Amino acid sequence: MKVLEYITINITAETLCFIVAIFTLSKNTDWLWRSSIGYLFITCVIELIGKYLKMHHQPNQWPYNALLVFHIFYTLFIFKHILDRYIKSMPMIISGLALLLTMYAYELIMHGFFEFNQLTYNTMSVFFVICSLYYFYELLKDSRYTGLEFSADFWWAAATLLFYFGSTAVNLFRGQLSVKVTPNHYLTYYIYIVLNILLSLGWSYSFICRKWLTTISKN
Amino acid sequence: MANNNIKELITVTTLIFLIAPAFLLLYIFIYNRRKKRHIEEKEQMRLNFEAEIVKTQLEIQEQTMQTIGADLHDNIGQLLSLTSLTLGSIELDDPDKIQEKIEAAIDLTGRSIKEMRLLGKLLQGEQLISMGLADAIRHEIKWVERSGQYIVSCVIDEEMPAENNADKDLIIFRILQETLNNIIKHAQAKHINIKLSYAGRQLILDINDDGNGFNVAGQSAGMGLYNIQKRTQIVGGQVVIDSAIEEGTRITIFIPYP
Repeated sequence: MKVLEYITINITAETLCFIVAIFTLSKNTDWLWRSSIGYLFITCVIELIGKYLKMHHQPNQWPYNALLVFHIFYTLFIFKHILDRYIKSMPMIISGLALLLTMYAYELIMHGFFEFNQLTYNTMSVFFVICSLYYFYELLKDSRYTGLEFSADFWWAAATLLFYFGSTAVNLFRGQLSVKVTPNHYLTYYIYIVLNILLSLGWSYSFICRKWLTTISKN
Repeated sequence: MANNNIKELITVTTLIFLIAPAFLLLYIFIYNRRKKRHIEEKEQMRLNFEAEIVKTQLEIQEQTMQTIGADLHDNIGQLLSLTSLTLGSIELDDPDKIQEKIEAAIDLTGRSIKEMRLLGKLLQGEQLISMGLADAIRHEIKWVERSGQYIVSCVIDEEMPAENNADKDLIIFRILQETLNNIIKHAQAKHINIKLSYAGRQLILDINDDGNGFNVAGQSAGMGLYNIQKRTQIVGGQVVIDSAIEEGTRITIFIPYP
């Protein structure tokens, strides 16, 4: 059945994360956390469109170009939210936003919308790794104690670090990793699956912690 | 490629990429646990310190009350009893002696009033600590000198820090009181010398007497000496006790201040 072909590991992981977000964040008072629902919905839709185009042997890089913009905005604004506890992060976030959007525009001009903006994606990955590491640095430096086991901010940043660090490493060693391990896929495809699962699990747990924390505060 | 080889390759590569962030997250967890323990220990120390301050305040109040009680019984009670007897013994038939007895009664009443005023100052003495350690020490020494049994000399450095620490002042004052109590109870001294100075960001309180002394090494610390050592440690200070049989005792306390 053709429908079953859409149920890939990536799409499943992202859909489950989206469902968890609906159940845990739909009544959250903070609009930034609530925006995770919208972002994950867009991600799932783009993944399905990408899969559809691939199955019909069409170029499928352009939907991911569109997703990249949402990626940039969502991730940066969540970073702003979690870093604001320690520093005034707006200058850093605005600088990152300006850099990434400029590169995005540059790449669009250079090769158009239908080729994936790889340079922007690589730069974005590195920038997000730096933001995650900076968050952990501020967390360690802070004299206040934070219970990490149920900290939504911590698990969100940890999942983001794992995904983008792995993603950056894959990009760096793409040449060596371009090994076909199955007739249809390279090694990098499977690594991305693992990274995606880790990201989805981490973010899902983060949303659950956020819901649990909000419930305790109300009680 | 065989399935097992594929799985192995994917697993190894992913693990290699994730080792660095995984170790970082582990480090953060461990560090965070230590931070929690440190905060708990600090809180416990703060609670212990506050409990010690409250205990010290109560002891000062108790000592004041005991002194007042003893003074009322020994001095004022006696004076007022004598006044009453003197007035009661006045015979209107003997006019020569009336004047004498009335003058005696007035004198006794005057002395009672003087004692009561001193008692009032003693009660106020507790408040002197908040006005300054030096004044509180001078006041305490005046009270010791009243008995006439001790010659007390007190030298207080003029260069005291402008900023004071009320909690440490209380503890230092209590240490002084306990040391004076020990001298009065055990030393059989005639001279007591007290010196309060400030050097190298430390307050130095030196108390020595010419009493019996004791064998420091052999002496199992009584409650007085134990309290002095414990309180000094709580404020991060040090006690040096120098004594020998028939050679008097010197107690020097070094306390970081403020």
